[in-house]
Amino acid sequence: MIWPLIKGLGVTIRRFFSGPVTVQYPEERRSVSPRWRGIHYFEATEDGDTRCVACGLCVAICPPKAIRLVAVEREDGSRYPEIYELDAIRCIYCGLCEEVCPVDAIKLSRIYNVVGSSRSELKWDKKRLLERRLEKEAVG
Amino acid sequence: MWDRGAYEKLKAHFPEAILGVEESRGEVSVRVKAEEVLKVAKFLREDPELSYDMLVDLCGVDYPEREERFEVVYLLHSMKDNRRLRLKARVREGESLPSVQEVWRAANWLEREVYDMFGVRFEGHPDLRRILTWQGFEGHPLRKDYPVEGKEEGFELPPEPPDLEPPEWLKEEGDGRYMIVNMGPQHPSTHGVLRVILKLEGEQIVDAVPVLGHLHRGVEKLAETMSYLKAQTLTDRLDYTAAFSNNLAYMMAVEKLFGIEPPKRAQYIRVMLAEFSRLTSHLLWLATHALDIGAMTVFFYCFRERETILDILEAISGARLTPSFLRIGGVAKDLPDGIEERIEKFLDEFPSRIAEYEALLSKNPIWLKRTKGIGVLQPDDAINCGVTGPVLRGSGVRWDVRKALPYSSYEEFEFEVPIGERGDTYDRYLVRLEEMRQSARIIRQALRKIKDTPPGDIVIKDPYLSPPPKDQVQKEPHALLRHFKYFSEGPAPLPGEAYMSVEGPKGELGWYLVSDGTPKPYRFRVRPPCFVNLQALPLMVKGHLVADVVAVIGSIDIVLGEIDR
Amino acid sequence: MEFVYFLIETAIKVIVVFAVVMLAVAYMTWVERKVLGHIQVRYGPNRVGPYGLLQPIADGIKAFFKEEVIPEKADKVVYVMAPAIPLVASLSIFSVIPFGETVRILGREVKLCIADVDIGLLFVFAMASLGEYGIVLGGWSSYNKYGLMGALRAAAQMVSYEIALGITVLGILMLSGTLNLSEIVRQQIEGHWFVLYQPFAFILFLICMFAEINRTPFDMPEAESELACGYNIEYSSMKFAMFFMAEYAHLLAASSLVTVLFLGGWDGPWLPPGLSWVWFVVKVGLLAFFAVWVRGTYPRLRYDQIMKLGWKILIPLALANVLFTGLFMVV
Repeated sequence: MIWPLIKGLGVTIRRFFSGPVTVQYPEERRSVSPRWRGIHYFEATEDGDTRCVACGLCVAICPPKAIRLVAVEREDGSRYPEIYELDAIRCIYCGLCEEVCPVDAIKLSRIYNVVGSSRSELKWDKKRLLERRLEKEAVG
Repeated sequence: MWDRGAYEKLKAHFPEAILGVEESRGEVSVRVKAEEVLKVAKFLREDPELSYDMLVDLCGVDYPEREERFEVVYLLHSMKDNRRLRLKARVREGESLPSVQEVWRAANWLEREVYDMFGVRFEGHPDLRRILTWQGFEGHPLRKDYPVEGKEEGFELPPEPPDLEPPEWLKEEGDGRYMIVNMGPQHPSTHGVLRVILKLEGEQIVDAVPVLGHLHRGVEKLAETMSYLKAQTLTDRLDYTAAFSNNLAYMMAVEKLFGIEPPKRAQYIRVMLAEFSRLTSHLLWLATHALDIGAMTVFFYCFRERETILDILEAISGARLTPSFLRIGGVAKDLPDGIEERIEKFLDEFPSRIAEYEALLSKNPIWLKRTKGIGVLQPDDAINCGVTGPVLRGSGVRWDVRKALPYSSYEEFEFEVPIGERGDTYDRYLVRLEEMRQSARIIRQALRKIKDTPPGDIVIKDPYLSPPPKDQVQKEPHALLRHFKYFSEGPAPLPGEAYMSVEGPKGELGWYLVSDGTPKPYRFRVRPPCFVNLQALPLMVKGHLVADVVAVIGSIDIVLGEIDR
Repeated sequence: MEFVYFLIETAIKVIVVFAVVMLAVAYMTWVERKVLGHIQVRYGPNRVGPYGLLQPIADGIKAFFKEEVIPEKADKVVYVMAPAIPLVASLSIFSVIPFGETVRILGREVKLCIADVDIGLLFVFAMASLGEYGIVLGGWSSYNKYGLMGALRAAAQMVSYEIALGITVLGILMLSGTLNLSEIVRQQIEGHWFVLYQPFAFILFLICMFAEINRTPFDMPEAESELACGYNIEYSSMKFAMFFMAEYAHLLAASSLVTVLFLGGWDGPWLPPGLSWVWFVVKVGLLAFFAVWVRGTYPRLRYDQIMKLGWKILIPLALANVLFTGLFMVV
């Protein structure tokens, strides 16, 4: 009856000397895997605009309905999203929008901080999503 | 597995009560007249040949176009012969059914839920109150005419917080001998928002009444608006400690509806991920259970292992808590490179870690004093209450869905199912520890089996049920059309119903899906293991002291996300 | 004149001991958090100052700024006075504990003990018992039924284990023949440490010590996962901090007592008499580390199990110890 008590003490004292396993955030950061579903960004065409053709598949597939899309037809007959708004707080980061996009316009990066100081700041439009493509390169 | 002979026997015994038999996807359902349900139930349980001693699930389905719009579905299981049978009874609006609570105690809360969600009354039920919504809530949410966004007009906040008073039958004897004390909903040890009303005589507990519904989010109603693929994201959030098990149970029910089976590689990957999620769930259970009883270091050690597993799951699926990794007929992506070494490394270290938890707890006299003989559940009570999982196995009943009704190629794996002897908290603790070891064993076998299957063969090659590969979509118009049809609408199964269950870490987790031929499920019913297990709490806690309630709730291992949905 | 020198000497000793003990109590929180942290494979506090050494100071400043909430129906005088009682009692124990050898300072023989009285041991037990009043008064004056229940339980636990504690010490008493703590230490220096003569009593004393102080594995009255939080449920800010300081002070006092009674007090090799108190501090430190180590390892006992252990198991064992010591001495 006494021996298990002493064995227990032995386990804890061994761990006392074995060193912590925690990561000292923010000086050290834990790396995320390549498949991590982080925040979204838009891929761009050569002239820096979005590849999105406003087909509406991402709007249809999004489970919490976080994407708002208004499509227009351009002079050359192609479809174009006039308004594309993604609500980062409603989004559940499931990655289905990335999976369904037929032109690989919207993708999920590996950035995991979803920060903003107001709700409106966390509703991302085309411009913000395009800008994030460059940030994503910086973070890696 | 499904009882084909029961219909004749029942028809012979109750010629007017039995209205007919149906079969859908291999499952046999017998239709019963509403008033005779209790008689038929009693016969089914007591007849020595049939002996349906466990009520697995009881739910309602709303068919507003029929005159008898509510259909109450009973799913029964016979432990003796490992057979299942479904009973269905139809009622009109305003009609009531006799309660089968005296036959199977599991029906108590399940019938309350049907009453809450559909408005079907059950005669003879000892305590027919709402369970997931609050007392005084108006309307019945799962009816088809109740809007999914909720009703705004006509809604007033009640003048006083509802459910403050304990139920009337608890307060009966007013001679001052009893004290009624409230535990929760904000309490460090109730694993979520659970409220337990305790009736004490001095320090001893006379009765315990759990109050649920604080986390009710309407998952079953929401899923009726989503296609089968989208609804998988809802399943992650039910038992959030073991998200992958939920995905698996749901997707297997969908695949049963469609009548398909995924390729072997996908099945082995599913088995491996299901066992990993069992490990994450049991590690969290051990961490919180030990913390409640006072051994706080075990919490940190378990979380250290859990982090390693979650890192592996993240590398495979892309998210730690909400993977949503399955697709109809397979899995979403193949295993990434280098994952086998990581898993092997984890498996090599894991036995020594379990030995560490054991050294701290299993023979510790303080731990033994706190858990031996506490919360005893007799096996007959357990089966009658519909309890499944480690709680049932701790009471000595050898029943595991992976062995009894194997799914996803579990029959090819070698593993043992631990059972306990006395049904107390200590036995449930030992059962779960041993299950962790067996899960590690299964994962090792799964890794080996995956190596023998062709890489990339992860989804069934059916043009209706799986989308075309992305590179084809961008080039060929027929692939583009298929892609659009698949994701905007989704495949629709033929009308019918299917029930599929897995051995989740907490018990038998099952899905009952009813399809009406559209791409959205007509009825999305979750068979929640913790909900049914928690019903046995008053039985386990009677006669113990208040400090033991915390230990017993910990040993049932509840997750409020699954209980309240 | 002699009397004046005596007063000055005592005053200086009191101030030094008080300062050191209060500092030790504050840094005991640091020790606890750091040691528990490393046992739990994480860092303890390490942001506030190097290795988190300024953490207790930060906690103290925070406690000063917290809002004082006094319940309306509480008995105000008793409510405010209650936390001070256990603190005063625990600190008073230090007045009879010998910290080191008698040294020569400025031509005077100075005993490193504030009051070297002949009833030292009795005084210690008396003050320890007085400390329990504060808990009961705190729980009762809060006008909260859960607080009262917790207070009664804590007090009942402490009272029960006092008995076992006292009987355990009887063995030492029989061996040394005196209640004077300095004398006990001197006997151990001349002979062997009493732990070698009374190992069983040592272990019993440690167990009772944990129970007296309401520490794991006997901390059910103040465990958060119980129904009620215990006697300090209605206390906030400084008064709450005082209850905890009292608990740590009691831990240090009990460790000092164990050192003096069993481990030879300030006995140790190599060091000159002027630094003999270093060994004393080392031994008390090791015992405090042991207390934290035990806290991080064991689960806690249920309240009725604690009471059963104290009355039905420890008291008979302590009595048996006295019996055997007596037989040993006669034979």
